[in-house]
Amino acid sequence: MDGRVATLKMMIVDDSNIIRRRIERSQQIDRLEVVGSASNGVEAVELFKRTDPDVVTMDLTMPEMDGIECVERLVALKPSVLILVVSALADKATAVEAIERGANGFLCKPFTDRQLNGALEELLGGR
Amino acid sequence: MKSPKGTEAGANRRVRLDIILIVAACVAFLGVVFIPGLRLAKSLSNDASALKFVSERRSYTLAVRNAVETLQDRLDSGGYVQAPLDQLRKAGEGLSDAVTRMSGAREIGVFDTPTETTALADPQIKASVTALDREWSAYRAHLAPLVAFHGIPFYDSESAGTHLNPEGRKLADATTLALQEARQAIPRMDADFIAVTDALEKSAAASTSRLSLVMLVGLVLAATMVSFAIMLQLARKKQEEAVRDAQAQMQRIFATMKEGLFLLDRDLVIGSAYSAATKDLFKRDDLAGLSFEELLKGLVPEKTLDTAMKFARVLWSERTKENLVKSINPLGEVEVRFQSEAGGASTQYLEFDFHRVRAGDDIAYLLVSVSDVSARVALANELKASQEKTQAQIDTLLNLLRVDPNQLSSFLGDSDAALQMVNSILREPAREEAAFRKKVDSMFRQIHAIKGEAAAIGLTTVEERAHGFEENLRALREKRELTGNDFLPLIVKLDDLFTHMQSIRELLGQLSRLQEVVRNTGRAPAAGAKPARATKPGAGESTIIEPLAAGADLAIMLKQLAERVGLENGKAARVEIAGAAALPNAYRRVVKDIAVQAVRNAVMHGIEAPQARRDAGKDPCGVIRIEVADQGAEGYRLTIEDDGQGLATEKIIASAVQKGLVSEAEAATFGPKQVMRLLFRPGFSTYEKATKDAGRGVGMNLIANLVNESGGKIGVSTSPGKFTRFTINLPATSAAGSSHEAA
Repeated sequence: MDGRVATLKMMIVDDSNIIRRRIERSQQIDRLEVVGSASNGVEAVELFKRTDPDVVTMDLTMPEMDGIECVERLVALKPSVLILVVSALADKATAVEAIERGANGFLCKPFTDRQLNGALEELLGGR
Repeated sequence: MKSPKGTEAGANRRVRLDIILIVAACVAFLGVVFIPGLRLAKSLSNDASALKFVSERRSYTLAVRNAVETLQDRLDSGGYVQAPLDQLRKAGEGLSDAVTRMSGAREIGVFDTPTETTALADPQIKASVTALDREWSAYRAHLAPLVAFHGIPFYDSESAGTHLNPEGRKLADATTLALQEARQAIPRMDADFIAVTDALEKSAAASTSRLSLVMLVGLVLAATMVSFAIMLQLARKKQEEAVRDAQAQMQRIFATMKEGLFLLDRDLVIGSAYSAATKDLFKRDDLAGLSFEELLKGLVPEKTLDTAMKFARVLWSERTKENLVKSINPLGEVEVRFQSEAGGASTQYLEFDFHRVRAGDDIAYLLVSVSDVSARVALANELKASQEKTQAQIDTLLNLLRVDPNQLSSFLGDSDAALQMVNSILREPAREEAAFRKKVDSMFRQIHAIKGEAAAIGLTTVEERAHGFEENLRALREKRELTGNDFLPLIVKLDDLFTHMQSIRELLGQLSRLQEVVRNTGRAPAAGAKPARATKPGAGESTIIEPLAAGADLAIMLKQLAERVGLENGKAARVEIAGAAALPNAYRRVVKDIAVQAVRNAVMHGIEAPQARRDAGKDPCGVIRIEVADQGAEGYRLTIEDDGQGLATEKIIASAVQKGLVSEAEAATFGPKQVMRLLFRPGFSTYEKATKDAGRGVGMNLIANLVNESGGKIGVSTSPGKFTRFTINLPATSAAGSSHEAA
C-alpha cells in the first residue's frame, strides 16, 4: 500500500443503478473510498453493519425501507456517521425530516459533478 | 447585539487590571505615606509637648538658686526669711516633680495615649535626664535643712538688736553650704536641661524634615493616582463613546436597511434588537420576545409552518451542515398572506435566510434575514408567462407548417362558421330550463367538432382551448338548475377561441407573405445572367396550396388522427378509405365530422392493445375501413368498420345503468337493438378515464345527432372479438345540406 490510503469509507444508497454508478464515478475526494452500494434501506443497513462506512449518500424514496427510516437506523448504529441525502426536492418537509432524524446535509437531484464534490467536501468539513 | 467574545474577554482583563492597580496604589499610600506620616506626626507632637514641659521647668533651677541667695541675704541682714524659704520650697518641689516625671518617661505602644514626657524616653535624652536626676538628688540633700526650717532664726532685743539664734546660725551655715554647692550643681543641671531641649529640638527637626519628605512622597503618589484616575476615566469615556458610537451606527443600520433582521434564541424567540424593516414586513410592532411560530402563524400554510419550525430547530444541531441544508429551507421563497383589518388580504413573497451566530464554539443565536421578493417573483412569473406564450406561438407556427394547407384552410373556414354559430346560440334569448339545456347541447356539438378537427390536423393549441370550453359546457350540463348568468364565463372562452383563431390566420398571412418574398428572391437571380443554383420553376408553390383530389384531404386527416390517438393510447391503427371522391360537397362536412368521431371511438374503444391483438391471433395494427357508396336515388351509404373487440352488450348495459340512463329492471327487458340504441344516448361512454379523445360520452351521441340533422339513419352491427360496424344512410343531396348547416 502506498501513502495515499483512503482514510474514510463511503457507502452509496440509491434505488437507481444509474445514480449509484454516477455518484461512484463522479466523486473525486482523495480521502473517500467507496466500499459498497445498496439499492434499498434494508440492504443498506445490512451492508452498513458489514462495512462500517464513515460517509453515506442516501436517496429518500426507495422500496423496502425508505431513506428517512434508514437514516435513523444508521445514526443509531454509528452516531458519528456523516449522511448526505441525495434526492429530488419534491417535498421540502420530507427533506427536513431526514435532517431531523440525523442526516447532515442535502444535495438536490439532478446535480453536477462539481455540486456533488462540493457537497461531499462540505460534509467532511474538519474531518 | 452582542460584541464578539474576544473583545469581551479583553475588556474583562482590563477591568481586572484596573482594580489591581487601584488596590496597589492604596496599599502603597498607606505603607509609604499614611502610617509613617501618622507616626512622625505623633513623634513630632510628643517632642513639642516634651519641649514645652522641659522649657517651663528649666527656670526652677534659677528659682532655687535665687531663693537660696535671697535667704542668705535675709539671714545676713536680719530680714524676713519666710518668703525666700517658701520660694525655695515651691521651686524645689517643682523641680523634684519635673525630674521625677522626666525620669519616669517610657516608650508607649501605638494605641496608648502619649504623656507630656513620652518623647524623653528616647535613649539619648534618657542619659541627660538620668544625669539631671542624679545631680538634683545630690543637691536636694543640701537643701533639705533649709526646707525643713520652720520658725524664726533671730533674737530680737532692744540692746543688742537682731541676732541669729542657734537655729538661725545652723540655717545660715546650711544656706552658705547650699550656696557653695549651687555654684557647681545648678550650672550642671542647667547644662542637662539644655542637652535635653537640644535633643528634643533635634528630634523634632528630624521628624519635621522626614514628615515633609513623606508629604512630598504622598503628594507625588496622590498626583500619580489622580492622573491615573483621570486616564482611566478618559479611557472609559472613550470606550463608552466607542460603544455609543457603535450602538448609534447599529441603530442607523437597523433603521435604514431594507431587510428584516432579527435574532432567534434556542427557544426560537425573537430578540429585542431587530431592524425597523422587520416591523414593516410583518406589519406588527410586538416583535421582541415573540416566538417565531407566532410570527408565522396565519401567514403561511400550516404545513409550511410546521416544516419551517423543524428546519429552524435542526439548525441548532451541530450535526446539521449549515451550507448543505440551504436548498431545503422551506421559507426560501414563501408566499405570505396578510389579513387586513378591513377584511381584505394581500399577498407577498418573502425570502427568509438563516445564519448561525456562534459565541466561541457554541451556537448562540440564529440570525434571520427577511426580504420582500414579491417584485422578483412577479418578474419571474411574467418572464415565464411570456416564455410560455412565445413557446405556444412557436408551437402553433410549427403545427401550422406541418398541417396540410388545404386541410388548414378548410378547418379555418369550418371552425369560423362553427364559432359564429356558437356566438349566435349564446345570444339567442332563453328563459326556461329546457331552452338553456338545448343551448348547451347545441354549443357542445359545435365545440366538440372543432376540437375533433383540430386534433385531427394536429393543432394542439386550438384543441386545448376547445377542450377547456367543452369542460365548461360539461359542467353546465351537470348543473341542476341553469340561469342566464351561467353562460357568462362562456363568452370569455369564446372570445379566447376567436382571438386564437385570428392569430393563426395572422400567422398564416405572414407565412404566405414570407413565401412571396422567398419566391421573389428565388427568382431574382434566375432573371439575371448567372443563376446561382438551379431552381425548379414554381417549386415553392406546392408547399402551401396544392389542389388535392376530392376526398384525399379527408383520408390524410383521418389517417393522422388514427395515428395520433393510437400513439397516445398505446395502440396501432390504420385507416383505409374508399369512395370518398363520390361524396358531394354538401356532405363533405358532415361526413368528415362523423368520420372524425367514429375513427376516434374506434381507436379508443374498439381496437385492442397490440399485445391483446397478437394474443387473439390478429395483426397488432388494427384496421378501420371507411367506405362511401353512391346509391343513386337512395342517397349515400357510409360504412365505418373496425376489426377490434366489438361491442359487449353487458358492458353497455352496465355502463348505462351506472350513468342512470336506464334502470336495471328496464335494461333486463332490452333486446340487442335497444341495447345498441343506448350507445347513441347523450352522456353515454364506457371509457372510464376522461381524456381529450374520449370519455365525455358524447362521441356516439354526436354522430347520431349529425346523422339525424342530415335526415339520415344509422345502424350498428358487431361481433364480439371481431368487428364493430356502423352503417349510415344519407339521403340524396337535394334533401340534405340545409338542415345540417342550420345546426
